[in-house]
Amino acid sequence: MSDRSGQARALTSFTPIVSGRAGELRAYLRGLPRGPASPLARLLRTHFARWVIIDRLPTDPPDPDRLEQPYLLFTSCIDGEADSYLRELAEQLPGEAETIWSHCRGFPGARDAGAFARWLLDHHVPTSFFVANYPKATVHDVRQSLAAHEQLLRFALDTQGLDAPTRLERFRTAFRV
Amino acid sequence: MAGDPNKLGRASALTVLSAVKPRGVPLLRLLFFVGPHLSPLLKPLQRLSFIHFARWTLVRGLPGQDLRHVHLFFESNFNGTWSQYIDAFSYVVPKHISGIWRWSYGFPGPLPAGPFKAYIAEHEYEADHFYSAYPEASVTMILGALELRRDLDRLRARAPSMSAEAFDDAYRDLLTAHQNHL
Repeated sequence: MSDRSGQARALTSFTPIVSGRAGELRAYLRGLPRGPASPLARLLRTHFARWVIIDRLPTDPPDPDRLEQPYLLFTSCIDGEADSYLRELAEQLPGEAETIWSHCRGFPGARDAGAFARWLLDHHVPTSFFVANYPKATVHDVRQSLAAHEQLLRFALDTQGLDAPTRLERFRTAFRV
Repeated sequence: MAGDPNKLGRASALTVLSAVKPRGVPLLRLLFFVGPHLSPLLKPLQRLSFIHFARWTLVRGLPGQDLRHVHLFFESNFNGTWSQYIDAFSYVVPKHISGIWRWSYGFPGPLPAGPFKAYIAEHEYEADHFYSAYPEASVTMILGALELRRDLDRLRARAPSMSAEAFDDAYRDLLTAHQNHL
């Protein structure tokens, strides 16, 4: 089992939703702003994350399992350790964390970041097989590299046809050499 | 924001649960144990150039509820469309997909793609909120940018002491080496 690939970690938690509150939670999650305005954007170690309400289990086996209550699945692909990440989650999005997980049984509140992190880690399900295509790169590395790519592309277009000394001068200025 | 909740920019989310037959549980545990150390399993999945991160997890029980069946949880963060993604599983790595899901009840096999797509659609869950830190970047763009930045940083380090001619040669080499990503 491994939640780790390079420096990347897989976080997977299932928390039981209080009976009758799944619909309200779903409406809240679906109403959250998306993209750069998502509350998860405040967690700078998050590559990808999702909340999913699991309200049924597969029915194909004989004698299939039936959920006694729906579950809130929270998964995240993060840089570094899960414990410090979850503390940051409680600190950086206290209002959203409080609203979301207060729909779940046993939620200790988000004010005590340590207690919140321990509670969510108690609901963590270890990953069996984690595949990461750029496991050594942090979110910062990825963003910096994409920005460097854009910058070099602009530089190449802007300096076409210049003589070598001028291009070198421009490079030193543009890339702060 | 309206739109498909499983999509954000180029990024897509897939979340799937299937129930595993009892005899498949120890075999999957073994497969997942050796998988990270076994190039023939890991490399082809990493070479699927549109998967950012993916995970498989054997769920034996849920907090507060024991389960009769072990469930296989699969999550993927990828770029492209759902249909292209499942097609790639069917046509590019069918043995790998079969090796993992063949122990799940109802799995029709990776080929033909139609029944496999129907199986995934039936067993998947829509995200209620999906986030990506770089939704407009594909895996190919990211891998290219990481590589380019390494070479660009080397050129930046050398540039202060380079002659204009030597810089120009190195600069052209950099552009040539990364032309596919520019």
